[in-house]
Amino acid sequence: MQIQTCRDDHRIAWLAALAITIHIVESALPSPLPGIKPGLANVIVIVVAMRFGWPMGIWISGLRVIAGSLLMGTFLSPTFILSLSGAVGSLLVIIGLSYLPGRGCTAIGYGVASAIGHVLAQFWVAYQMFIQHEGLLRILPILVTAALGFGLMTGFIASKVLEQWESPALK
Amino acid sequence: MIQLPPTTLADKIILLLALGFLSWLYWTYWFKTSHNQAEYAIISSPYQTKRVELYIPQHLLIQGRLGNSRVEIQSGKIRFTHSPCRNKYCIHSGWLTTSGEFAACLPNQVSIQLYDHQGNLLDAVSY
Repeated sequence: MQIQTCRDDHRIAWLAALAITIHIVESALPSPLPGIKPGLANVIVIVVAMRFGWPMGIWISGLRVIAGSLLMGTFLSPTFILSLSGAVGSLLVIIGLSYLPGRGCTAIGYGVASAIGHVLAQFWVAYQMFIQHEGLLRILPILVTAALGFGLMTGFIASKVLEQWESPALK
Repeated sequence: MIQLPPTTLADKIILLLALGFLSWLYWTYWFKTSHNQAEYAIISSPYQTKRVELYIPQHLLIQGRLGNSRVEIQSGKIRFTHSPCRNKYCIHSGWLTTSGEFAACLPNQVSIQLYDHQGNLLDAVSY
């Protein structure tokens, strides 16, 4: 039996593989504080959502979270739940932004807003599930500052990727 | 030279909102939160556990394993002034003012723990 695959399936598989690779490489980088990391895999999700629409972004993000956690051995662990909640938060923001009227926002806006959505959703889940104490809130400004900085960075990279994608040299 | 990509109005609004939210976060969680002034203390020894309000200035004698520890209370703060122990760590702890603060004389088994009326006690729990 052969499963029929369409063009979108292949595209999703390729891009998800790329996102998973970035995700795993990034997890090997040291972090100054738990919860702070560049989130470069989000570049792929932003590019895909802007180029092919948010449903495909959900596919890439979902596959990244599940396959990434299977590869790193964190599937269904607290790490996985945090990773999933971050992905959900960031996707909700991306979906919301894709319905903006007019010209909407560029990759920069997507990058910043989704990074902050990611960190807030993750923080909220961590707060509800693990440590319900107001002292934890004092770390939130730092996390959001990092999200803003890294969001600008991923947005910038995503806009460069989109630029290259649109450029006639590739067509 | 890195060229910044063009941005739209929505981008600028998002950036402004993000900066506003961030300043609000810093303001709320870093600058506005003052330490909670303690309102009462629980003093415990092997023979008794008592609650004392910190707004009443007084001197207390607390009987412990080795003898009497003397505790002084003065407008919202409390300290050990005399203790029969050897190292006097409890006295060196000095004045306690903030909810959650704690001083103890282990040899004499007398301890003081400060609280406020919201019951705030710990700064954080990690496990």
